[in-house]
Amino acid sequence: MPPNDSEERKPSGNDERPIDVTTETLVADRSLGAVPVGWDADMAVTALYSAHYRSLVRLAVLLVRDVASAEEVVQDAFVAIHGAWRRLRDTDKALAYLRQSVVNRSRSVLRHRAVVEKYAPKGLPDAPSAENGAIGELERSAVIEALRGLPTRQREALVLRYYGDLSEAEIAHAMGISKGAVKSHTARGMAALRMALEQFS
Amino acid sequence: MNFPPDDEYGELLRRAMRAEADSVVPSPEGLEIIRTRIDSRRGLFGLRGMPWWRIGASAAGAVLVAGTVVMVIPDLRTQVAETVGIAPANGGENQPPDTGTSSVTRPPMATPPGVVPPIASASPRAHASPLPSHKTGPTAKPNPARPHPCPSPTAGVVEPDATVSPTCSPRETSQPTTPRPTTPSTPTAGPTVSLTPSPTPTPADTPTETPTSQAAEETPAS
Repeated sequence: MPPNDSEERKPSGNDERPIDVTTETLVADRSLGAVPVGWDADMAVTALYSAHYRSLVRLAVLLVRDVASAEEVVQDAFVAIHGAWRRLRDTDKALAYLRQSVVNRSRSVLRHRAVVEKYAPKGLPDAPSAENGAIGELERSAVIEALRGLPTRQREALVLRYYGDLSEAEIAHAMGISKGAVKSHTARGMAALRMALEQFS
Repeated sequence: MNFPPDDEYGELLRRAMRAEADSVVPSPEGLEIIRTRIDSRRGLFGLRGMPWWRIGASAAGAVLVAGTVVMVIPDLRTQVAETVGIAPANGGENQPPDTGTSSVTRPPMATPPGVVPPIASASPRAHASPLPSHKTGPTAKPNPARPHPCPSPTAGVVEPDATVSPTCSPRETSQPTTPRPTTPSTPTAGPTVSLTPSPTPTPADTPTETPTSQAAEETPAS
């Protein structure tokens, strides 16, 4: 459970970004997910957007490695929940619905991208920027790079666990797999990540 | 959570992910884009609230009501049948005389309950002879009703063609004769022989058949 999550869960203004808002809102099933029952789809989408859009985009960025694609994925998820709002029996599960939708659409994006990259000419790898000179940045970029090298399911499990701070059950629901599969993907992903980081160091 | 306690790699992974995620700033017009998409989707599926099946159901209902109205009102039905061309399939080649006789045969249909079918079948003139023979057998009661059907069909049908009237009238006369003998063969012969146009003189005109004459004599008396 992330600490001090009660204050920063509410969407603040555009001026300042709270530090831990991402993790907190992803866990916010327990708080904001409770959309009032009488709300219509427009009101619910607006409320969900102001509370979860940013965190969901960041989650999607970690999954699809591209901000534009991540935003599109999350926007699609919001449009989908707007259309499915009447059929959504438990409005408290709105965030879970959004998260699952983001994960599924991220998979679709990666699948499509894999097909495109398979037939597209390969370009030069991204050159490290000047700010990557810092040790922390190197470490971070190494971790992210190692994370990107993982299989999709393992990456999803690690992102949802270490970034989203979700429980096994929540990860299983978001990924559409069992808890045992979540454990397996997490363990394998961590082993592969550890191996990659040991090689880096 | 059932995960084992985070090791150092887990903490490292968490920090790196948060740092990477925090570097992402979504575009501020995300909500506008979502609303635009929702509106465009509404435009595409604007009739979701009123599906096409409702329109089809209302049209089908209107057609059904119109059809029932046409079928209930006889004049309208015949008019529609003539315009559409369903008339030949209805009754055959003799439509006009049938309509004339049908109006005439209505009274007998109402008075004797058991004789209703033979009278209706009396409209086809030539084919009527076998039919009454069958129907006269079972129906022995309708003797008093004889005068009604006979004059009326003969009066109405004689005008078109004279040959038809004798066949029709004996039919009616045979009805009184047949119940008494109760023999299945005699009624068939009875109507063919008797040529009397009217029902009342039938007992006198049918000399050949003794049982029929006796029955006829009894019927006027009763």
